[in-house]
Amino acid sequence: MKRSASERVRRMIRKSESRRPKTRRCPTIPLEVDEQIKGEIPEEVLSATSEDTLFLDLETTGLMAHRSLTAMIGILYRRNDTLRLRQWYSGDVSTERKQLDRLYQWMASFRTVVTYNGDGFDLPFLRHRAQWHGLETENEPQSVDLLPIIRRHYKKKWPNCRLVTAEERLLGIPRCADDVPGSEAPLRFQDLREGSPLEVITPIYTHNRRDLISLVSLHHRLVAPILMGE
Amino acid sequence: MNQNPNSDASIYDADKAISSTSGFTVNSVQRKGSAPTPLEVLHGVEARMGSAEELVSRYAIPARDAEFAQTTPDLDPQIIDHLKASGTWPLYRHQARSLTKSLSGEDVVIASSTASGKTLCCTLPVIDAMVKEPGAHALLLYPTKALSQDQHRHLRGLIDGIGLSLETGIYDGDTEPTLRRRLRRSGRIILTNPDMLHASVLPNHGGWGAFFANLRYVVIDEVHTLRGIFGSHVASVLRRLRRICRHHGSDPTFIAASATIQNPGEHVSRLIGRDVKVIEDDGSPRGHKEVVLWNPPVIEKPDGTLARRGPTSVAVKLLPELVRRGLRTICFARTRNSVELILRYIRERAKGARDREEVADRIEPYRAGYLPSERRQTEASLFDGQLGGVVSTSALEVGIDVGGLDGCIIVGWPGSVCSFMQQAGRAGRRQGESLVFLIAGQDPIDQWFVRHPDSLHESSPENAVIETDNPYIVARHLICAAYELPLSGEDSDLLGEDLTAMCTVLQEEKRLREEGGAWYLAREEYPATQVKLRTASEENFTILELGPENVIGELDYVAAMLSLYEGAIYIHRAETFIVEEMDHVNCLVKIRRTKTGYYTQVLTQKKVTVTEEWSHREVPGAGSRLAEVEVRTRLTGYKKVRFHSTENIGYGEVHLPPLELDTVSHEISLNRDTVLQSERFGTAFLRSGMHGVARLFRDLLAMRAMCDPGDIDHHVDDNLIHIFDLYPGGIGYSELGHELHLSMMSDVLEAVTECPCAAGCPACVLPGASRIESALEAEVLEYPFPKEATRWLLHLLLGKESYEPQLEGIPAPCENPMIPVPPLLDARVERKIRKVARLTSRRGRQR
Repeated sequence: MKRSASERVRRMIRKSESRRPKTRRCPTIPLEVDEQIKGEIPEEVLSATSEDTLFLDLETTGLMAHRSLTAMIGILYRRNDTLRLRQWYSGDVSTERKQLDRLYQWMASFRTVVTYNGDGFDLPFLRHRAQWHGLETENEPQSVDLLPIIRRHYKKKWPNCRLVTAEERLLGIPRCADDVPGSEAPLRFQDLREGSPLEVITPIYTHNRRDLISLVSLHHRLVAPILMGE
Repeated sequence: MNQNPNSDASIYDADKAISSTSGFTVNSVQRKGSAPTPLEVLHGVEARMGSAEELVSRYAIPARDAEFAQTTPDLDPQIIDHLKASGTWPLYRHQARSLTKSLSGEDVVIASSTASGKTLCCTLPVIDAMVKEPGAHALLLYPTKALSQDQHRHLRGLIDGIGLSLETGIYDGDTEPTLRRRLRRSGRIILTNPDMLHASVLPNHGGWGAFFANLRYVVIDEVHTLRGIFGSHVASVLRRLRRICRHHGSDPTFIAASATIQNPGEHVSRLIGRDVKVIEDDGSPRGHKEVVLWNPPVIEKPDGTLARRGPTSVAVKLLPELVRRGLRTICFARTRNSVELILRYIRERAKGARDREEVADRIEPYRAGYLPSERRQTEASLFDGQLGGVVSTSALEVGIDVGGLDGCIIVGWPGSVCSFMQQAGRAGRRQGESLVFLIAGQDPIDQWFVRHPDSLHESSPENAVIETDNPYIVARHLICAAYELPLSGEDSDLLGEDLTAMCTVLQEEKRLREEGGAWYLAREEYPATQVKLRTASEENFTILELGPENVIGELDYVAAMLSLYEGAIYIHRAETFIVEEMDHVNCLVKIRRTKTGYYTQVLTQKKVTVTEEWSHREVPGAGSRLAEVEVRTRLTGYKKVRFHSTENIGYGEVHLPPLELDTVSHEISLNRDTVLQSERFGTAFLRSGMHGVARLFRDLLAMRAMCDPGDIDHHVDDNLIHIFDLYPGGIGYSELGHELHLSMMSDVLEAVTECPCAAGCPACVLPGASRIESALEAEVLEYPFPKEATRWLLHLLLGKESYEPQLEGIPAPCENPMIPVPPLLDARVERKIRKVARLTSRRGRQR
C-alpha cells in the first residue's frame, strides 16, 4: 500500500474516533476455570463414567448463532478419581476463535460428547460459529443428547423436561436458592460487556458447573443401563 | 421468419404503426381512425405555435427494423412456450446473445436503449435457473425502491404466466418484519437495493438460510446510475457480496443492465471486480422519432429591457396541445417546483372552457414528495392509457415502465447527454412515430446548444466513473466486511491486494484485532450503520394537511428544509398550501390549504469555515492549503414570487438550522499582492476570474481523480477559492487537488487558452447553471469578459509574466440571468450540467 494511502486511512479513522461517543472496549477477561472436583457425585457413578466421555454445556449471548457469541464453553471429564471442570470465557469474536479452536482440538481426543439438548442447540451452534471463523469442524465426537431420552420417558409424566426438573425428579437434588436460570446468561454477559463488575457472571459459572455435574449423574442413570442391556 | 410488421411502414403511415402487434402491446391504446399521427401533430404545432426563430432545429432519428435471433437460447421449454404465447417470440438478436452468455455462466452487461427488452435478458436466466434447479436462488438489485416495486410486478407476471410457484419478494426498508422473516427463510428471488444489501442483508448473512449457499444469479439493473461516490461504495458492497457467497460455497453469475453510456463494459467490470461481456448491438425495432429544439421567444418587459421567456411558458401551451390531439406525452421538468408550476398554469389556462378542462384533467404530476401509493397510481394509469400526459421530474427517467408514449417535452437541458437520451427514449418505444421537444432554458449551457444544435445528436453519452481503490471507501467497507466474516489474506483477491496492509493499519488504530491469522472487529459494533452509500439523508418528513387531517405526502430531509419551512407556500398537485408548523422532532410538517397568488423560494447562503489546517504551502500568487472545513448552507429567508410574472412581492424569515457538511477542502487564498493588482480592473473582474478558475479547476480535478464532477463542489468567498469533497469526512479529491495544485493550474490555463470561444462559453469559464444565491453571483454572471479575467488570474497563479486582458470586443453570451429567477436547482441537476460542460470542453479542444 502506498504510504500516503495508509496515512489517509489513519487520519480518517482517528477523525471518526474523535467524533463518535466513547464506547467501552469489550473486556477480554482471562476467565479460565480449571477445577478438580472431588466427592460431589457418588463413587459408583464416577467409576462407571468413561474417561472417553466429554460433558459439554455452552452459555451464549443469544439463541441465533449468526448474531451471538459462544460466551462460555464449559466442559467436564473424568481423570482417575476426579472430575476436571474447564470453563473458557470469550468476550469478543477474536477470543471466541481461540476458544473454539482449542475446543475442537480437545474434542478430537474424546469418543462421545454428552449434552442436554446438544443436538438441538449446542453442537449446531458451535459448528456454525466455527465455520464462521473458518475452522475445521470435523473432529466432533459421537453425540449423546440426554434431552430426547428424557422426553421419550417422561414427557407425559412431568410438567416439563428441563434439566432442573430432571435433576429434581431423577436425582432428587433441588437446585440451590441462588441458582440463576440459564436464560439469564445473555443479559448478564451483556451487562459485563457494558461495564458491570465481574460478579455479574459468577452465577453463570456456578450454574454451568451445576449443569455439567448433573449431566454426569443423569448420563449414568439414563444411558449406562441401556448400554448394559437393562 | 417472423418479420416485424412495422418494418416497412412509411413514417407517415399511421395505420401500420397502430396495427403493429410485435413485442409488448398490452397497453396499446387504439387511436380513433381519424386521429392525427404524431408527425401531423408536429406540422400543426409548427404552423400554429412557434415561429421559425423559436424552432431552432429539427432532426429525425429514422425507424429501424427488428433484428431477430437466428438461434434459440437453451431455455426451458415451459418458458419458451410462454414467450410464444405472449407474443414475445422470436427474441431479438441481442436478447438471444445475452441469454446464451448468461445461461453458460458468463457475466454480461446489456447496454441498449430504453424499451429494447433488457428486462427479459435479466429475468429469463433467473427463471430458467428456478425451473431447472429446485434449490436455486437469485438476487435482483435496483437503485430505487420504486423500481423494485415496478420490476417485481413484471417478474410476478412472468412467473405466474409460466405457471410456476415461486416465493419472491421485495426486501427493503418498507418490508414488514413478518414478510422479511419469510423471505429470509424461503424467498427464492429477492429484490432489493444496494443500501439494504449493505446495511441489512450482508451483515446478517447467517440468518438467510440457504440463500447465499445457492445463489445462482445477481442481477444489477440501471448500472449507469451506480457512478461517482455512490457507485464506488456499491463496488465495495458487491465485493463483500462475492466474499459471502464464496464462504457459503456459491459463485453467482452477474447480469447487469445499463442505459447507453460510453463505457458499459469497463464500468461493470470495475463494479463487480471481474471481466464481463458487453451486449450492445441492439436488435429491437424503433419507430421514427423527430427531435425538435425550441428556444422560447425574446420579449420586451414593461421596463423596456429584453428578456427571453422561460421554457415553462412553452411547455404550458405545448403539453395540453399534444394531449388534446391524442398524443400521450411526458413532460420532464428540472425541479419539483417547476413540475407543480407547469401543472398549475395548465389548469389555470384551461379554466372556463370545458374541452380544455377535460384535457387538463387528463394530465397528472409526478415527483418525489407524493405518497408512494399515489405515484403507483399515476404510473399505472399512464401505462394503461387513462392519462393523456404527465409532468414529472427526472424521477420517471429511470426504468419504471410507463408504456410507449407518443411525445416527450424536456423543459430545460436535463444536465447530461445520458439523461437527455433516457428522457427522450421515453417517447416512441417500439414502433410508430414519436416527438421529442427540448425547450431551451436561459442557462448558458441551454443557449449554447441553441447555437450549436448539431451537437445535440452528435454528442456521445458520458462515461460512468467509479473509483475502486479509494482508501476512504475501501477502509470503511473492510470494517463492515470484518463484521460479516473474519478477514484474512485469502480475501485479497476480492477486497484488494492492499488488504493485509490496510488491516494492519486498522489494527494499529484499534478498529481490528488479529487472532490466528484473521482480523476481527476490535469492539462490539454494527459498522454498516455508520457507512452511508449515498450522501442523501434517508430521513423523511411527513406532510399533514390540517383541516381534513390527511397525510398528503412525504419529502426527504434536505428537500423538506428547502421547501417546507414555516411560512412557505408549498404547491402540491397544483394546489397551494401554507406551511404552519415544521416539527423537527417528529419529522412532521403541518400545512393548510390556502389560496395565494404567489409561491415562495428559499434564499440560501453558503459559508465555508476552516476547522483544522492539515498542510499549507506557498504557491505563486497565493497560498495553497489543505484543511478540514465545515460547509454551512444557511437558509437566510425566503422571497414571495408572484405566479406568472415571477416578480418579487416580499420577503420572509426562515428559522431553521443550517445544513452542514464536515469535509476536506483545498483552499487557494489569493495573496494581498494579487488582489491589489486586480484592483485596476474592478471587483467584478477578480470575482469573475476566481469563479472561472474555481469552476474549471473543479471539473478538471474530477477528471484527474476519475470521479463524478458532482462529488466535488466549489465556493468563492472574499480572497478564497474553496474546492471541497461533497462527502462527509472527505474522500480524497481535494487532497489530490492540493498535491497537484500547479499542474492542475496549467491544465486549467490550457483549457481556457485552447477553447475556441471568444469571451467565454459554458465549455470553459461560464458557470454551468445560473444560481440564485446572492447579488455577487449576479455580478459575476453579468460580467462580460469572464474568459479574459480567468486568463489574467491564471497567469498570476502560475507565476507567469502578467497577462494583459482584452476588456473590449464581443462580450460573453450572458442570458439575462436575473429574469425570471429559476427555482432553486437541486444538486443533482447542477451536477449533470457540469458534466455536460466538461464533455463539450473536450470536443472543443479536438477541433
